[in-house]
Amino acid sequence: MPDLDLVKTGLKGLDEILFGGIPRGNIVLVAGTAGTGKTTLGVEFVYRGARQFNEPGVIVLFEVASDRLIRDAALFGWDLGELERDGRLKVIFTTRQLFQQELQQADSPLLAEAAEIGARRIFVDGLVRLPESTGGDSRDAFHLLALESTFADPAAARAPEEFVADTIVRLSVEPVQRAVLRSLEVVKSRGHDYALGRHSFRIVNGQGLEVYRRVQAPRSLQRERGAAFDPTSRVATGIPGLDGLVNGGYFVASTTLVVGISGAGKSVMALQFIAEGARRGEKSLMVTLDEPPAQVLRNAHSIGIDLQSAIDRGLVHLWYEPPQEFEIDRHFAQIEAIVEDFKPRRAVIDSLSTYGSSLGAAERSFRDFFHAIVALMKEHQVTAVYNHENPEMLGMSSMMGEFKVSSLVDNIILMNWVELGDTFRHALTVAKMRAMPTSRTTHECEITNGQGMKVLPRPIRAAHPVVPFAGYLGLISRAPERRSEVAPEVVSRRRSVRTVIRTPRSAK
Amino acid sequence: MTPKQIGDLLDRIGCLSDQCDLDLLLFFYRHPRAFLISERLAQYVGYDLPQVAQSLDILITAGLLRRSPNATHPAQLYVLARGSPLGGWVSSLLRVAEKREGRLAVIQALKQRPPLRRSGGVESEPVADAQPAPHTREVPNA
Repeated sequence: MPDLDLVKTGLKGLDEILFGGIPRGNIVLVAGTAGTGKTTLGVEFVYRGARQFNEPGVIVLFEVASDRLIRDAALFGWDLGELERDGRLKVIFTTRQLFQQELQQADSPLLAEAAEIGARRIFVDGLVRLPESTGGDSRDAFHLLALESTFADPAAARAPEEFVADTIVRLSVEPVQRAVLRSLEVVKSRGHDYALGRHSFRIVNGQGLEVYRRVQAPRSLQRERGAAFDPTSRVATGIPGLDGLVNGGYFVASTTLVVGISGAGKSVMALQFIAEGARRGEKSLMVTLDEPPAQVLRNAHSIGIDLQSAIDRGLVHLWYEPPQEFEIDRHFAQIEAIVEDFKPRRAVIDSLSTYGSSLGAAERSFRDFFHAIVALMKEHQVTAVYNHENPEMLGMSSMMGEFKVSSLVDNIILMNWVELGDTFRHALTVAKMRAMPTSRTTHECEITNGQGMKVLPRPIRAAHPVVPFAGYLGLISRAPERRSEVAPEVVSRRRSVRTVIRTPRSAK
Repeated sequence: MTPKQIGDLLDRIGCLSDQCDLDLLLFFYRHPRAFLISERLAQYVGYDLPQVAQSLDILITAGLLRRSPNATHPAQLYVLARGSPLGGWVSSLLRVAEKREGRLAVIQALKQRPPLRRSGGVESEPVADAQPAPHTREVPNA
């Protein structure tokens, strides 16, 4: 199969969605309602072409004055005036009717004007009716023709240009509660493959468009292969007493969920995990959503961890993003970029429940996001710990509540409060260890000022002798009772008697 | 800018004597490269076609504007000559004139100047059925 001649747009993130760019010669229609960013996309396409790929360009305007376009472009740091002076750009003001006529004339002064600078890209800022023939002079003259259209209701009508265009990119602005989310969709594109679906984008001052591939879009196969564990290596947890419970540490690139109510010690465990990495000279990423960096640093200091020093030494990357207006595609893209650039060996996300609150725990996007981030960490062989807040204060009837992602994780550690006398005491249970044996016994923990958390040694003498299942009644009901030495029918009769006795009391 | 300073600028530029000259120059200041038929150009700036043709000739002769050489084509490409010797003075004047008050001040200054010799007829005034070019709000009668 011959190599495709793809034109890179140069827009951040867009070429990734287009799997490298747009086939040269394609007519591109950029559609969307007013204010969706069509003109910005078109101007940036021409600007990047001239600036980064040595492909001079022409911008054709019907409504916007050239001086205003140049002024607006300057907000993004694009000096169109300089490109014009250098002979790499021409901004031409004309009328639709004239432009349409010119496209069909071989001796058109407009085409000659474009040819004078060797224009390879043209952006037409306004809808025009293209010649019915798809092989006209315009295609021969320019290798890419970008158009834009504005529909009051994008679903209401399809412009005839949609049928002529080879590539259609649709921009939209969707309300999300009281915020808005910009999205970009490649509706069709002849001659190559591209990432389907609606991807997020932003218009960033001083930069231009930034497109973020939707988090659900399949990634490379390599990412899936990353799930294979190295069974010989362990990653120390940094919590005294815990490594022994998890067979020496977590598997490399494994996913661990620490579940518990607020105050149960999850963040303390996370900090100790990071600090242990720093102690060993391993890089760690800490993504904090609930607490700003200053607060995280203070918390770390209170348990004797000098996190700032680890950051200064380049061993810890502390990244905070407030969760008020999450754009999940962008958020994921940022984490992906950090993981690829910083190359951490450990990662902590504090906390998963905040994503759920922002995205809606029951929504599929939450699960898709989590799936994507787990795959990302595995691909890069990052051992990751995710904190998850379980709202139940005493005991747990469900590990993850409505966050149904426990099947995606390798290890689950439950953090509980146990009320003994007048005190809540910390308890830890290793509930799941994929591919490793675990006893699922509950251990007491202690958090000490200046020292952090440790798992207290279990008394050598067990409180109760280990009895086989046969020694219990009511296992399936989850309320087991020790079977006595007497025959089952006797136990059954005793229970009935107790019930009989209780009845008149409750009747009072 | 004071009326005297505006008058000085007009003296240095030399060729501008008429409101239509100014408005055409302002149009091309906003659209430095325009491909139009002359009738549409006249509609945009709001003057009669002969007035516009006369002013175009003045601007082209003064080196402030270039027109595509193909005279047989119905549409012409007009390019504002930014590198002309008068460019700096013209830019200063247009920066003043791009605001409504500034434009009126320049028009006032033009009216107070002795008329330059023009090839045809009287001082121009905007026509009533002008059709403004988009974003050229200072065009009269828009």
